[in-house]
Amino acid sequence: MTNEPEPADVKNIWQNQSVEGTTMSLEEIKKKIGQLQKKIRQRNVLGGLALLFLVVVCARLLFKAGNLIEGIGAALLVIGAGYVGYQLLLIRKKSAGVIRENEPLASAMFYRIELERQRDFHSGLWLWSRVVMVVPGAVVLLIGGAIEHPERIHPIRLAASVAFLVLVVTRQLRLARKYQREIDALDAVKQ
Amino acid sequence: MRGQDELYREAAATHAVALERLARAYEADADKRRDLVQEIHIALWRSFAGFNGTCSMRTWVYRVAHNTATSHVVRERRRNRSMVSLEEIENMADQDNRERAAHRHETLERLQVLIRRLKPLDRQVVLSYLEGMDASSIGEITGLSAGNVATKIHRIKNILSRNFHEGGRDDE
Repeated sequence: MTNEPEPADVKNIWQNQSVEGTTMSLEEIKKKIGQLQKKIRQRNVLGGLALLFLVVVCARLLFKAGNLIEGIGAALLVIGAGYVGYQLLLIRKKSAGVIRENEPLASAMFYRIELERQRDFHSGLWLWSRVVMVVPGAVVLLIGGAIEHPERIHPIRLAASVAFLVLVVTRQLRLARKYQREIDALDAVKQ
Repeated sequence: MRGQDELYREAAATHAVALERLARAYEADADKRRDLVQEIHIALWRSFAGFNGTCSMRTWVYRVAHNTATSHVVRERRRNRSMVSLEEIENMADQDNRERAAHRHETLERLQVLIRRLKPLDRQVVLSYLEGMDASSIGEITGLSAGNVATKIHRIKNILSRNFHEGGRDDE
């Protein structure tokens, strides 16, 4: 014999665990909401600064460009970096929201929407538009650089760049498939 | 008609303890858990601005709490290990859960670890079951049919039995 709890006791143990039962006064809630809004503003400012830094780094390439092609590549990269930053801000705002049509969504539906949001970010239009906005700039910049400094062209560097791109896209697609599998599993349960 | 503040006070007075248990099942880290509990309370207070009585207060509270906690899980999931379903846990139970819980405290800790491994929907069903809700209430919160909830509860009972009782049978 052991003093192992019976299965029926598990519910009892769960319900009788010692917890503080934290509540918040209305003043605390309102104060916390103010703090949260401040935090969101700070986060947005930080995100904006990071984006600005990225754009400045790319813009620096634009001013240091040795020829027109390199300049065009750098300009395209500035636009691409700006677009990626914009997408990151946008996906945060696309959250399902706890309340919809004046009622909290049933939790399975809410989870599905959150999974869809993650899947969409890692695939389809969201992913390919990032690729389309960033890759041409990088390619044109490389071509411009190669014209300006032919001695710097190295097949291994080129191969490594292509491999990096393929790796990034493959990882994104793998994540999207993972989210899709979870959505399918969720749908199968609900049917 | 009760106002937003009054509804929140009533919900907090009735469900605060259960909400804290719920947060424990979603977050192991004490600091993050405290933040999650506060996030749930804020979401609740905000939600009551639109409370229209189309569902019971309890369903409303648990939907808001689970949805807030699910967002937390989705945000944190890259840092956590991958989650599993009830079916997967049920299959694993035989292999890696033979250790016995001699004390209530240890049982509770193991139970929390087990729940935190589950995917959000399964986690919600387990939590609701442990809180003593029936299949129809769980269906109302999650949006699953009563049949699906019943199947999941059957699995939960099986898992709990294997994880928290099987060791005892071996000794008999």
